Amino acid sequence: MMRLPLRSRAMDDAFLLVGDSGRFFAADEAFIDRLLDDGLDVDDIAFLRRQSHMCEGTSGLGWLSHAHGLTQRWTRAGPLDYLILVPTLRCNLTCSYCQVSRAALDSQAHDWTDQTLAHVLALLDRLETPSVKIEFQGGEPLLRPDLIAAVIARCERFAERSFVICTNLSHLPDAAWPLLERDDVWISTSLDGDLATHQANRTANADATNAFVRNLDTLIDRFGAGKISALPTIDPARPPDIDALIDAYAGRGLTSIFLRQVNYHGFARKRHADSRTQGEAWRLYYEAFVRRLIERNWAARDRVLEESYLTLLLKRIFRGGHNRHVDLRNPNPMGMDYLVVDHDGQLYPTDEARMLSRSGVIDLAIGTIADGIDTARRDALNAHATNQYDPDCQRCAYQPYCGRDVVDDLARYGTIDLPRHETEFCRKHLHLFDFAFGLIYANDAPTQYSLRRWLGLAGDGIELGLRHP
Amino acid sequence: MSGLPFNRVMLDRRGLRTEQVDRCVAAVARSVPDLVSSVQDGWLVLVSCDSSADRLRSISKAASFAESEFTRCIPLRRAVMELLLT
Repeated sequence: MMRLPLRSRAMDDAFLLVGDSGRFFAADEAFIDRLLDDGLDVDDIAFLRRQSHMCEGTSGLGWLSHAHGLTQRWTRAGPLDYLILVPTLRCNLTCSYCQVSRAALDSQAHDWTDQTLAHVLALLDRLETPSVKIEFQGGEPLLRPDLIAAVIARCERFAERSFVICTNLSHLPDAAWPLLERDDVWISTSLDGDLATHQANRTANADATNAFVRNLDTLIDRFGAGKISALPTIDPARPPDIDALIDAYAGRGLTSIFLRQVNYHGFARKRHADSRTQGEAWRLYYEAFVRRLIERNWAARDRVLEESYLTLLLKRIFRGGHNRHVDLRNPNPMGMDYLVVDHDGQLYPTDEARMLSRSGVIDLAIGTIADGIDTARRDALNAHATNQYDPDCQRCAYQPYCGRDVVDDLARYGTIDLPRHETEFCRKHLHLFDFAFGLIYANDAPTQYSLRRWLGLAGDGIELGLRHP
Repeated sequence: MSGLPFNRVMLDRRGLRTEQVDRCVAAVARSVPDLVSSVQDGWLVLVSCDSSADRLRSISKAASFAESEFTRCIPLRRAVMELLLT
């Protein structure tokens, strides 16, 4: 009988033990001592066998099951079917934390040229997948609805297609409405909380704020809240009141909130320099926000509010194969199934990579839309795009659920050659996974109620946090 | 110094190599930022001002287990990689 690898993490009242395939349980200190002393008793062995943490040698079904579980934790990038397109870098707002370093509204040199559009359409023609997802980013992409319309028209041949227009909703031109009325078009926008906070962060004056609110509410009235996803950007130095923030979303039927700190890119690198790290204040705010969602979900059970990133973490904890979120996956292959085409035709592996280039930190372009992908540059990035062989990650209980983001390391430190636990990516995710497991093992009905709904479970009879008896 | 909650935990090194002890200390330090460590007579001594002794002991034990388990599991992980790559 062979015991499969386990990794450990101290929780408040127990030890968390996680197998390489992500199966986990909690145990007491005496069990850890028996593991360390190779002194497992009959009940321990029966428990570990039942939970697939032991198997008979390396040739039987148990070993194959273990191997299969491991493969579910590894991203296998499929063919390119997800594009982020930046038809213009111009924008009609001047947010202090603009992470893309937007261009001025009257700029003449920050839109796709006719030639760039032709290359983008040719790329779409070459895609070999039956489905495609395209995000239009900016700048403000609705400054060029003609370019969006041209791309969407070229995608009619795909059996499945979806388009997300990431817009600040400050101005909806007439040409935008035929696009917005399509069933395969969704809107992603920013809503920083109550209107005073939103105005302070983004719209700057009452007229612009009112225009945004009018456009947002018109879209929701006309198409339903399901058409819209929104996220707040939070300045930890001036976070909005938690209930006011939740009300701004829940009051409009928006149930999913991706609580995001100012991102250390673009203008934020200078104007919000403290966003390079996540301090204790942010972590406490985040936890208080989630706990408030739990309270409100329990108090009003006709709808479920969620924090999107926590839901993603929970799904990665409980389910293998949840590997399409490019900010958290392992390995994190870049420039394979996902690609960014910038306003000038440069290709980038991620949206953050184009932000770094724009900031003049490092050129992470991996080719051009005219000439194709520079595979040598892409391979250089992908050589280290995994947590599989990192000495810290190899010992971390959360490795099966976590990911790797070399672009984030480059943005914050200018190098990827750091002990993992000294990076903000690691600190952030250690905190989030510690918090998530604290919720999973919380013995209170409101928390368990929300967790089950965030995970999409049908009933309340399942014990989420397994314990060694 | 009076009044500071000064916590000290001694952990049996259990045969860990020097680099593993270093890594064990680093792992504990992820959860205990003000950690001070030393090795004395085969014991790993961890001292912190802001973590309760029980909490520090739990974190230390988890890190110690992670180190010993890492060494034990190298051949197992290699075997499963060979299976997946063939």
